[in-house]
Amino acid sequence: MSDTDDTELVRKSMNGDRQAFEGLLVKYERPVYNAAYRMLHSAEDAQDVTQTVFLKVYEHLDSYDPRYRFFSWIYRIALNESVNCLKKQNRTEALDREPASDMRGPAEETGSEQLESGIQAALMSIKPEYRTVIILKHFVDCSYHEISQILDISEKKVKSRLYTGRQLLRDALDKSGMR
Amino acid sequence: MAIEQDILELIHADIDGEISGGDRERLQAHLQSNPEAQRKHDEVAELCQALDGIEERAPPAHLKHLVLDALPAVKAREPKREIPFWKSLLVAPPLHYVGTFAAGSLVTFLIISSNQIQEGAFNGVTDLVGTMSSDIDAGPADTTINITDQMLAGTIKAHRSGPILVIDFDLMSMQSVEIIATFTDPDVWFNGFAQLESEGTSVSAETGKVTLRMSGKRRYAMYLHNASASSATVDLQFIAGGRTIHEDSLTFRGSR
Repeated sequence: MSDTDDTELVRKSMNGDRQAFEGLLVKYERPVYNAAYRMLHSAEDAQDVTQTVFLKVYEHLDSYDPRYRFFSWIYRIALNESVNCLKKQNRTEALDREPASDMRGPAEETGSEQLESGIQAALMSIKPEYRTVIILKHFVDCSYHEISQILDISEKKVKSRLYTGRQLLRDALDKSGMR
Repeated sequence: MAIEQDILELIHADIDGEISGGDRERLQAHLQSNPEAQRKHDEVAELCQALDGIEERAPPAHLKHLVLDALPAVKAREPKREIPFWKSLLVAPPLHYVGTFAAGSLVTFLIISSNQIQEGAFNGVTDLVGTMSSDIDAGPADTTINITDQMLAGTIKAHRSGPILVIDFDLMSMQSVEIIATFTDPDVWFNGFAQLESEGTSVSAETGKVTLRMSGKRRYAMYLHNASASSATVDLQFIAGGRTIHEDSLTFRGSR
């Protein structure tokens, strides 16, 4: 689906077309939920954030500026909400936190699940500003330019954060013996 | 020997597919003559491959439903009402308050309980009531509880309306009472709250548990969604002055 489709769905949603908003929800529910999950490492919190994001989007459709791409707007809200959630719950020192309730014990995990757990733990150990860029690049599949639009920072800064974030991630994986 | 910054940038850009033709040739030439840079390229590529290989998580099936259910209530915060909402309640059959309040209360509740909303965005349940047009059919009660305690008296009725489990409270308490409703079935989740005749009941929820606080004479309803449509049980614990004054269970029949 193109940006034009998004613009049309937003326009119809603003006119009270519920099905149009459902179209946006169907398209963005999964990536928004996944971005929130990777930011927060909690299915419950990711669900709360996703709900809040769509309610805020719906409530503030009037303030959406069609000169900008819709996905930039919704991902920005999603990441801001996730960061707010982290701040509220004091989860920035995430390596110290208890495992999320939906996580299985190490003995029960398959190889790919262990890798995912290790990477997620490493992600949670780095600062949100680096985590955000890595999530947008690798879990939302955004280009440098798209990330710069979403975060409202220069492409140069996107690259810098991405390279540093990857190095920190790699260091954390080394430290945890994942490599 | 440290890898030059511009080569490092080209390595990342190459792996991210954001490198231009000329820069790619330059990088390839450098990598062929510099094993350390090649090693770095391999390391970054390995990390990126691991990140890209992580499978997406599926959102809970009910998430879309929860968001869509909440939408009319949010939108309805804006329009002006021609008559005060409390007047419209007076002409409504008592049990019809269920549908009238459900969506608005649901949105507020979800937001309050998830602590996601910024301060000042909503002032409380009363900001959002009166926003849903459809009613929920009251139907016959599956379970009726009569309480005749010195501290608390009244009736609680439970019935099902499709996938919605309605718990209708009509109670009078001598002091502040906390009512804890617990349900262990993962297919059951909180779906809304409404109150009639008064606005003195507070509510908070988490997975498998809803807590209500009230005092005086109160009439209100709590809604749960049962995705599986099977029978369900909700346990109720009434606490006043730090001690349990009553315990009971509500059983809902299956809808099939």
